[in-house]
Formats: sequence, C-alpha cells, structure tokens
Amino acid sequence: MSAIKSSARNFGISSQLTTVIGVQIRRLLKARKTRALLAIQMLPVLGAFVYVMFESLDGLSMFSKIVNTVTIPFLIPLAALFYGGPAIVEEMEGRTLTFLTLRPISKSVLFIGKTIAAITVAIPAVLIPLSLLFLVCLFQSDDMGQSVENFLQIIGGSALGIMTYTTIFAALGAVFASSILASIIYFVVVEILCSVIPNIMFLTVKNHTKTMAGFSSEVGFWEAITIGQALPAEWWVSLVFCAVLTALAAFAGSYVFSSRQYYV
Amino acid sequence: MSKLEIPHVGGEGAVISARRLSLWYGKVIGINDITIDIGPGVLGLLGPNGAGKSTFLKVVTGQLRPTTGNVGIFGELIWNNRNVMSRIGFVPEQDAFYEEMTGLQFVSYLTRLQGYSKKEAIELAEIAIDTVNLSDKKNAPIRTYSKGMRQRIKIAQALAHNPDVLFLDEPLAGTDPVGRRHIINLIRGFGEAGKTVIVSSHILHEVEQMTSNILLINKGRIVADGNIYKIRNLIDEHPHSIRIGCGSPRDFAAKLAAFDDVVSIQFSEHGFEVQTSDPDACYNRIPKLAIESGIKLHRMSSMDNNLTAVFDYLVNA
Repeated sequence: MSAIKSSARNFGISSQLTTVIGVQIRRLLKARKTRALLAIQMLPVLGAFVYVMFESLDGLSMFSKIVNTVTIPFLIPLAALFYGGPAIVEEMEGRTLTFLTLRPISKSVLFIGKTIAAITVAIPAVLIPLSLLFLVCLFQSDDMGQSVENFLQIIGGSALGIMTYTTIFAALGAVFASSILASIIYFVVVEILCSVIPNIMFLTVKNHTKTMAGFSSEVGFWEAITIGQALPAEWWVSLVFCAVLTALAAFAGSYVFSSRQYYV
Repeated sequence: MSKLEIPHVGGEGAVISARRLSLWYGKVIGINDITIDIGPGVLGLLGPNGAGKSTFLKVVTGQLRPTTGNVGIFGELIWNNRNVMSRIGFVPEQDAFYEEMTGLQFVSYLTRLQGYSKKEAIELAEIAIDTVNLSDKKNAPIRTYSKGMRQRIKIAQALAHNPDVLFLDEPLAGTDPVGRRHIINLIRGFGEAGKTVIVSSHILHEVEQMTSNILLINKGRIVADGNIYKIRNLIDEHPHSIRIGCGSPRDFAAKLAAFDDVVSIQFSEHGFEVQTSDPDACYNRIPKLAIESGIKLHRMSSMDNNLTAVFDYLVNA
C-alpha cells in the first residue's frame, strides 16, 4: 500500500471543510429530494403563470402577496426542513456516520461543513423558482424599476431566512438525532404558535425574514389590542437578529455534535 | 492494578491499552471491566453474537465513550483524538454506504478526509481498490455492487491511507471463497508487516487462518486471551473432550467410566466422546486400556486443537 509518494498530510480546517462542503453539495444536487423540492417550489410559479395569462392584475402586487403568504411562511422553512434537519442526521440514519467520525477531522468541522452545504443548496432551490415567479409577474408590472428593487430585497431577505432556518434545523437534528420531527415541532411551536402570542412573534425567523425582505411587520394579537399597530422593525435589526440566531445555532449544533456519542 | 497483572496479547509493546473499560447501554452492559494491552500483529476477536465484540471495537476506535475506564492507542486517549484517527482504519460491520457514489469516489472522498490532496487521494484509493481486487468495478455506483464487493470496498476505504492499526468488524461476511482467501492473505500480510490488526468474527476457522492470537469475549468480558496454545492450557482446567472410534464402544466406554476424571460420555454414530477433567492421564490410559481389553482402537482425536473447541469450552464454561 501507499506506493505513491505523498506530500505531508494536510489536516487544516479549510482543506477539510472544503472537501466536506464540495462532496456534500454534489450529493445533495443529485439527490431525489432536491428534484421533489424544486417541483414544490415551482407550484406558485405555475399558479402565477395561469393568473397572468387569464387575469388582469398588478404583477408586483401578486408577486409580493405570494412571497408574503406562501414563500416566506412555508416554502423557505420547507427547503430548510429538506436540507437542514438531515444535514447530520441522514449520516446517522444511513449509518455512514462511522466513516466520517473515524477520520482526523473534528466533528465541529463536519457539522459546519454539512450545514454550509445544506444552505448552499437550499438557497438556489428557493431562489431560482422565486426568480422565475418574479419574471412571470413582471409581465403585469407597471413599474419595472421599483419591481427590480423590491425583488432584490426579497432575494436577500429570503436567502438570510433560509440560512437561519437551515442552521437551526441542523442544530436541532444534532441535538435530538432526529431529522424531521424536531424541526417540525420547532416550526409549529415557535414559528406558528408564537406568531399569535403577544410580542413573542418578535422571536420568529418568519417575522424577521419578512422585515428583511421589505415587508412591514404583521400586527400580532397583543399589538392589536394595545398600540393598534405592528411593532416597528428595521431591516438591519432583523439582519442582526438572524445573524445572531444563526451563529448561536451553529455553535450549539457543533458543540452538541462534538460532545455527544451517537449509536450508529 | 499493577503492571504485571495486565494481560498482553500480540507482539511486543502495547499499541492499544485498555484499562477497566466498561460501557453500559442504559441498564444493559456492553463491555465489562476490560483491561488488556494489545501489541502488533493480527488478533482475532471472537465471541458469540451479542458478546460485546462490536461494542469493544467501537470503544477502542473512539466511536463510543466508555462509561468507566479508558483506552489509548499509541499512548494517547482515543476520544476525539485526531492524531490517533489519522493512524487507524476501520471496517464497520454495517452495510452502509453513499450508494450513489462510485467505489472510487467513495474511497477517495474518505481518503481526502485523511489529509490528502484530491490527486493523492485518488491515487491512494485506486491502489487500495486494486488491493481488494475491485479495480474493474471502481467506476460503478456502489448501489450496483454485490454483497462481497461492498465488503471489499469497505476494506479499501480502511486501507487507503496505510494505517498503522486496522480494525475489521466481521470483514469476511458475504465474501465468496476466492475473495475470502484474498482478504485473509491481506490481513495476514498486514500483521507480518508489523501492523496491528484486530479482526472480529464469529467464524472461527477463518480467524484461525489469520492468526493464532485470539481474544475470546462473552457477555462483555474477556473470557480468555493470548496465543491459542496458551489458551489450550486454560482449557485443561475445564472438561476436555476426546473422540474415540473403536470396536465394542459400549464396553470400552463402560471401562473408561470407572475412572474418576471421566466427567461424561456421549455416544455417537461412529463411537463416543468422553469428557475428562484430566486430559493427560486420559490420553495415556485409553491406548493401554484398549490393549488390555482387547478392543481395537480405530481413532482417538481431540476436538481441542480446533478453535471451535476452545470457543465452546471457554464461552460455555
């Protein structure tokens, strides 16, 4: 064995991280679930296309409405659910984790690498159909300049939302060794139920994704009966919130994954 | 525990050192208070299903953290130790792969994680795949591999980075006779090259072909360790079976039964099997008694030279 002359082995984090991310992205792009997710993400595009063909309405309004009521509340978390939760857990459930943890690579690097790969694939899986949706709606828009500006903000906000959701779901996967269930429970409890609890909706990723995407905050139950309007929110506040949440989730996930033992 | 009391198997020096190693799965014990030093060479890890072989391998390779005690390889604790991980190779028992990858992609990916560049990893992977005789299928997806080929590609990923210590959990499962012979030779070659190889198996005659150093494990404990001949002495403390083929077997058995060291006698189609607590005396007595009794002795054989007997004796003892 080892007949080839090899240079010194490189155990640097960047080299290993690049390897994990590269291989994982290729695997995810070839995965059947990516095709399934793209099909789901394309449904609003098809719906919008039918509307544009047969109905007379403002394209930008339709685009904003779809993004506000479908893409951000459901399609973005769905993409994160597809890739974030299974980032590490699919290695446990597929029993391939052994191959990775017996390499001279820290488990934190494995977790971070897998999560970055998940985010990298989840973002285009949402944004490509979203861009197509925008193009379809653009046909019915009166103000193209304003439309493009709004679109770019929506793209940016959505990408950050995907990043935050995916990292949270990956961390939950590492903590509970469950790819889907823990993420669904988080989504139902935090993202849906908290949206109707006074002031707590400020803690939801959905709320901040909307703010970053340029939508005004929703009026929660408590706000409605007290100040009668939504809490004021700046896009940069939401950006900081999501960045902090992502960093915390990445740290917690990699810490738990490093210190826990998994029975594969 | 003093240094002198620590059991040692394999060649000189301790590559793997386990001290008071125990692991509990909740209320179920996986391995129980194992203390041993393992030196270079091939070591067969034997035991019935559920004995704790796989758990032992998982603990000594750092996949599971012991509940009590510790284990070191090359003097370093194994848990989350990247230095040690770069020097070990592991063939897991489970039949799990990245099914969509080709054999070459699979081995080269895992070899890259051993710190090699992409080019080096591919070269090393190709050598390892060639070593396990799978070169003609290296570009086929793993999902198309037969059971034996899957087993061999698992071995290739463990060999590719030329590890100093190799752990193989049931490596011959599912291999055809030719592949089996090849893998056995490969494992022996590693041992002869001074590497430390631990092979877990329940197929006793296969392990016997790889090594005479064995570690018998049952219910999470080491039942016996060392060279097969050293273990043979241990066997003598337990009832020892001798198969006898002769004329008038019932008469001859009746004469043997009169001696105190004879524990039991069981008749079979071709004679009978006598269990004795004093094998040396019994071996000397049988030919003499046959001559004195005028009984023709066709055959007298001990089951104990075969590892199966060692296994049965010590595991069931």
